Amino acid sequence: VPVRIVTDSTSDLPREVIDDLQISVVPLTISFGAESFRDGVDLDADRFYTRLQSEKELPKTSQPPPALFEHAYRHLTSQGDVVSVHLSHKFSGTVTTARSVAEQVAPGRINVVDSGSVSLGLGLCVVAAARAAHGGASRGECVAAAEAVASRLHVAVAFETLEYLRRGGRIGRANAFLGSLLRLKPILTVQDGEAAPLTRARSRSKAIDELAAMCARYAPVTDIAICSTTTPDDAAALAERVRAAVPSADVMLGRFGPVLGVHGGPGMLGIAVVQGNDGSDVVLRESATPST
Amino acid sequence: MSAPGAPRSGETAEHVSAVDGDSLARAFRAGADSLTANAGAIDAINVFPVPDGDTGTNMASTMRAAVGEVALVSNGASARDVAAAASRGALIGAKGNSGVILSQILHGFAALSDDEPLDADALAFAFERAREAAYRVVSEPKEGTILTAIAAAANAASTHGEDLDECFAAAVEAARAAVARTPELLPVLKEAGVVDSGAQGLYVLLDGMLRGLRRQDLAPAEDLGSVDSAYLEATSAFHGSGGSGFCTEFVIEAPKIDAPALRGELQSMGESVLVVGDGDLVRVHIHASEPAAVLAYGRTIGVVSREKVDDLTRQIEAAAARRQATAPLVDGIAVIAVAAGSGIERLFHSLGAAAVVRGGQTMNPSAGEIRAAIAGTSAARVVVLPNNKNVVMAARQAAESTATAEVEVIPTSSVPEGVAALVALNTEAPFADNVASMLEASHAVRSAEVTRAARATRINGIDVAAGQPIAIVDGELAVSAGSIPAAVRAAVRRMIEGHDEPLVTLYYGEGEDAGSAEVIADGLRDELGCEVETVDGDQPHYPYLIGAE
Repeated sequence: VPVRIVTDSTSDLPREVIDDLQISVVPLTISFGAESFRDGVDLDADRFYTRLQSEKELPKTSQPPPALFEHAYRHLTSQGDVVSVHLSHKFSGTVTTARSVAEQVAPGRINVVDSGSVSLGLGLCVVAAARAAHGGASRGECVAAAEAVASRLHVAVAFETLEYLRRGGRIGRANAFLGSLLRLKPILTVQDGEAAPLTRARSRSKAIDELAAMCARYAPVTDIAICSTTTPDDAAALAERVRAAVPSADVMLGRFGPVLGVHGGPGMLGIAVVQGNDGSDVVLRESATPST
Repeated sequence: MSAPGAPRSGETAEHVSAVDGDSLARAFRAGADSLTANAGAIDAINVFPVPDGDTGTNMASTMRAAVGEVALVSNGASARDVAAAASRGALIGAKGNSGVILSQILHGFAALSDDEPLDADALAFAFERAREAAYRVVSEPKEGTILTAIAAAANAASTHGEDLDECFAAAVEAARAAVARTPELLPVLKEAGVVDSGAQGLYVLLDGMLRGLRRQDLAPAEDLGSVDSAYLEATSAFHGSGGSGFCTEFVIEAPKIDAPALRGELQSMGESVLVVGDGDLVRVHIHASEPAAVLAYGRTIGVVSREKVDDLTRQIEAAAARRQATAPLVDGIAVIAVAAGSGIERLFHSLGAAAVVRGGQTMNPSAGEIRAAIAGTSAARVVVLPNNKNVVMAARQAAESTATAEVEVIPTSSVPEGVAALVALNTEAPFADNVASMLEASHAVRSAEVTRAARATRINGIDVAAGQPIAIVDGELAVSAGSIPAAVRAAVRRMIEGHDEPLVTLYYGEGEDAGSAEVIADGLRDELGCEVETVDGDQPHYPYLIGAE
C-alpha cells in the first residue's frame, strides 16, 4: 500500500491532479459574516470571487477544525502510513493543528511537513510527495521529496491591486516597495514562509513578462505551477508561453482558492517554479530521516 | 584645494596683460561653468543663513543668467558693456540670498571706465566697487561669508602692482584663503564642519574667470565634504535654525524706486531682507511669514514680476532628506539616481533610491558628489543611474574611484529610462542579474524632452524658430510645433509607433501644472488610445519629459 498524502485546501491543486494522485484535501473554513463554508467543498472559486467583489466586509478564513484532521488521519492510517504537507506556519496555524492531531491519532505513523510556502508552491511540494508515494517510496522518502521541492521552489505573484492585502493588514514590507507616485503592479514572493516584495511592473503585460521570466532566471526548471484568481485566461496564456519556453517541464494550471484570494483580490496571477539540480536530490533522499 | 589658476601639467596658460570685452565675456562664461560644475558640492555644505542646500545651485543659476545676457552683446563690445550686461542678467535672474549678493558683486564690478583695454588698476577698482556693493545690500553684514571673500579679493587686487595677470591671481588666491578662514569667523560653520558655501562659490567663480582669461581648462570640481550629521540632527530638532516662513523673491519695476526706503519697510515684514538694483528696476528677497502681504506691498510701489515663493521649512526638510541616504531597498544593494526637479527627486525616493544627487542637463554633478553619495549609502553594492548622457562620464569616474563598494553604472540617458531601470529592481536576483535586467528595462523605454528652442535652426529637415516648442525624441530633434501641448502630442505619436499597448508617462515641469498635463493626457487617451500617467516632475527647463514603453 502506498503512503497516503494529505494536504489542506490552500494547496490550490486542480481537481484532476487530486484525483489522479489520490491526495486527501482537508478544507479550511471561509466565513462571510455568520455564513461559513468549507473551502472548495461548499464554495467554489467562481462563486467566491463574485461574492468577494460585492461584499463590504472581507470574509474571514480559519484553519480546519481539528476534527477534520482527526477524521482524515484515522481513516487513512487504517490503510497505511501518512505524509501530511501544509502551508507555512507563518500564514496559518493549520500545520500546528495537524501535528498535534497526528500525535494523538497515530504516533510514529504520520509525518507532518511545513512546506514554508502556500498555494501553488505548497501544491508542487504535495505533488512531489504524492508522486514519490506512487513510485513506492517510504514515508521518509515522501517527506524528503516534498522538502527537496520546498528548498528549490521560487514563487512570484503579480497583484492587480494591493487593496485586499491592505484591508487584510498583511501588506507589511511590500508597502515600502511600492512608491505611490506611479501606478505599479506589485510582484511578491514567498520568503522564509512569509510574503515579501520581489519586484514591480508598470503594466499588467510587463508584470506577466516578469512571471514568465522566472523560468529563465531559475533554469533548469523541472516543474511549473500557475494560478489565477479571476483571470483564468491570463493563466492559460501564461501556461502556453512557459510550455513553449520550457518544453521539458511539467506545467500545472490551477486556481487560487479563497484563502489566498481574499488577500490577493481579483486579477492576481502567480507562478511557482522548481529549480532542477544536478543530483543533490538523490543526496537529499538518502540523508532524509522521518520527522514528526 | 588646488592653487588658483595653477596650470595643469602639459597646459600652457596665456599671460593676461589686458582685458577687453571679448576676453571678459569669455571669463564670465568660464566663471559660470566653474560654478555650475561645483554647484552640487557647494549645495552640500550650505548651512548659513539657512541650511536649505541651494547656494551652489542658486549662484550657478544667477551666473548663467548673467552670461545669457552677455551673449546678447555683440562681439567687439567694450568690457564695460559686457560687464553691464552681466550685471543686468544677474539682477533679473538672481536666485536666492547668495544669488542676489552675487548680482550686486557683478553690479559693482560693472562700474568700469570707458578706457580700453582694462589694466590692473581698473580691475582693482572694479573689485573694490564689487566689495562695496556686496556689503551695502546686506542689512546686517556678517564675516565668514561671501562678504569676507569679496573683501579679501578686493584688498589683494588693490595692493598689487601693475601686472593684470598677477593682480587677478592675487585676488583669487586671497578669496581662496578667505574661504579657509570662514569657520573661524562664523561659529555655525565650525559646528557644522564646513567652510562657507557662498564664499566658496565666489572663489570658484573667480578661479573660473581667471582660467577663462588665461584660456586654461577649469579645475576639476572639488569635493567639499558635507555638513556634519550631528549638527544636522541638532538643528533639525528645532525646526530650521533661522529658517521659517517663505523665501519670497520678486522684481519691482517703477520709475525711480527708493530702494533704501523699500528695504526699511520690508525689514518689518520679515528676515534676510535684500533689496538690490537702482533706478527703475529692483529685486527683492525676503524670508517672510506672509508672502502675500509682501507681494501686495510690492504692488503698491510698481509692477511686480518674477514672483517666486518657496516654503523654507519644506526646502530645509528637502535638503535634509537629500543629505540623508535612506536604507537600501534590497539587502545590500543601494541605487543612486541623478535627477533635477523636486518631483523627480521624490519619485526616485519613492521607488526606493537610496540617494538622489541633484543634477541634469544644465547642472552636471561632479564625480565627487556622486562618489560622496555612494559612500553615504554604506552599501556593499551600488547601482548608479545617471539619467543624462552628460552625467554618465562623471558617474563612471565616481564608480572607478570607489574602492569600498562594488559600483555599476547603468548608462541611463533620461529620467524615464532611469525610472524603468529602478522599477525593474528585483529583491531575489543576484547583483549581476539585477544590473543586466535594469539595463534591459532602460532600453525598453523611449524618451522625449519637450522644451523651447534656444535659437533658430534647421536640423533633420525641421525648421525651428527661436523660442518655438520642440521635442527631442531619443536624443534627436524630431518635432517643432506651435505650442507645448502640440509638441507633446506629436512626440508621443512618434514614440508609440509599433507598440501594442503603449504606456505613456508625462512628467510635467517648468511652467506646467497638473491641470495642463491632464488635459494633454486626456487628449492622448482619446486620440491614440494609449494608457497615460502624469507625474509632477517639477524639472527645470523642460515643460515635459515623456516616457513611452
